[in-house]
Amino acid sequence: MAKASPTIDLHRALEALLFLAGKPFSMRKIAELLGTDQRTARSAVDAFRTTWNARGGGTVVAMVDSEVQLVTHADLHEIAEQYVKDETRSELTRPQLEALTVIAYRGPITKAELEQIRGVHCGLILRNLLIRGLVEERRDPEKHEDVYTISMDFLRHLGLTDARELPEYEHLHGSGIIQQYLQHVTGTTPEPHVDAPAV
Amino acid sequence: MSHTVKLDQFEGPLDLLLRLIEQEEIDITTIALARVCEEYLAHLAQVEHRPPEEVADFLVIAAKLLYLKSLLLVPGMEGEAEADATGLAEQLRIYRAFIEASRALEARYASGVACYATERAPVVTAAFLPPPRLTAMSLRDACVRVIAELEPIVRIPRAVIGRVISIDERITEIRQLVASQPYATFDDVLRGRVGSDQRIVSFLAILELVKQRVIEAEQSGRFAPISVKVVMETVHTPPVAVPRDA
Repeated sequence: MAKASPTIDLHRALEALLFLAGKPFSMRKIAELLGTDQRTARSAVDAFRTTWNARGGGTVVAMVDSEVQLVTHADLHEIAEQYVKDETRSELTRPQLEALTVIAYRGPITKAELEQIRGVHCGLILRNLLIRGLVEERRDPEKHEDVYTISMDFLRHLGLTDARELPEYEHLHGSGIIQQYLQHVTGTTPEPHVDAPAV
Repeated sequence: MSHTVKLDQFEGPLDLLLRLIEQEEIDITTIALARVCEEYLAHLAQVEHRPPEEVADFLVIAAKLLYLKSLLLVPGMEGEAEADATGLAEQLRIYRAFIEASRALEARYASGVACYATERAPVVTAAFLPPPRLTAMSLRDACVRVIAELEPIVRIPRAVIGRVISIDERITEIRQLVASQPYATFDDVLRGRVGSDQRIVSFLAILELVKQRVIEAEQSGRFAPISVKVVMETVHTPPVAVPRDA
């Protein structure tokens, strides 16, 4: 029998880890467990996700920023709900929805960029969304600023495995006009977050 | 204005501006912004009670609108107004795009079509699972058996320790005895001592003292009385703990 390729081994290991994980896996943790550097881990995850999600199974690999989690497919939500007591889904106010939308499409986004798009101060609303676990905050090592992304929980509530599945994502995420506009008003170049594309 | 709807529910300055323009059913252009300037300013009264930060946000937009309108009023500045207003018109168009997206997001969120994940890491529970035939009596029997097996283990070391101590004690006692009288027999040494333990210990103590040349022991024949006497005034040597096989 032919020796399994290293890629296949990484994929099997990833599947096992994702199966075991009870919370989103960070890319750092995956790299540590697989004994690879983060770039290798990231491309392994991307490749694994693509094949796994394309096979039409009951579970899919969801990803936000650099966190990964194995979740049930959105079209199985009814059967899943019978087993999992539905997590109490809190009502969202208009401003919260607005902020979440901007963060979902533009994340990781700085507070300044968010405020520029919404035209209002967002400190309070961000804190609120953080407390409710709908948004996550992390330090961007290149921008030297805190950036915000939607949380894995919120992504799951939307029944998506990636923010890129949002309607008109390409347009609202990286549209040239938005780029120019933000560059014009903030004086910086807010690069849209570009992951290594899976395909 | 023909149909000024009360806009008391606006969220922020851009929201207000967008509603005013939508109310007019006009596209977001520089001219449109200038047209709704008055109305925007009229609504500022409603903002007064809001937190200062929010009021500031409203005023920033108000200032932009006024500047824009002033440029349009001055002949020959229209071109500049167009260029300058790009910021605000663009900002509003982008804002509108996100508002529209947020409605789709809201519908998705409300639909309940969600993905579910394992709630928490599976915990490996170390549970004690007794065999099905286990009864209270068999537990008792096992316990008795364990205690019985423990008994000799617990006893033996105690006996060993006891003997070592008593030999040391006996040596001291015999030293005192032979110091007080020049001559003693083994029976004198044993006086008041009962049991073979005591005999053995006393005998071992005498052997040790003989070895240390503290005393001399003599026995004229088998089973004859053993006589014990001091060899001489020795340099005082402290009694030594005797090994078991001494």
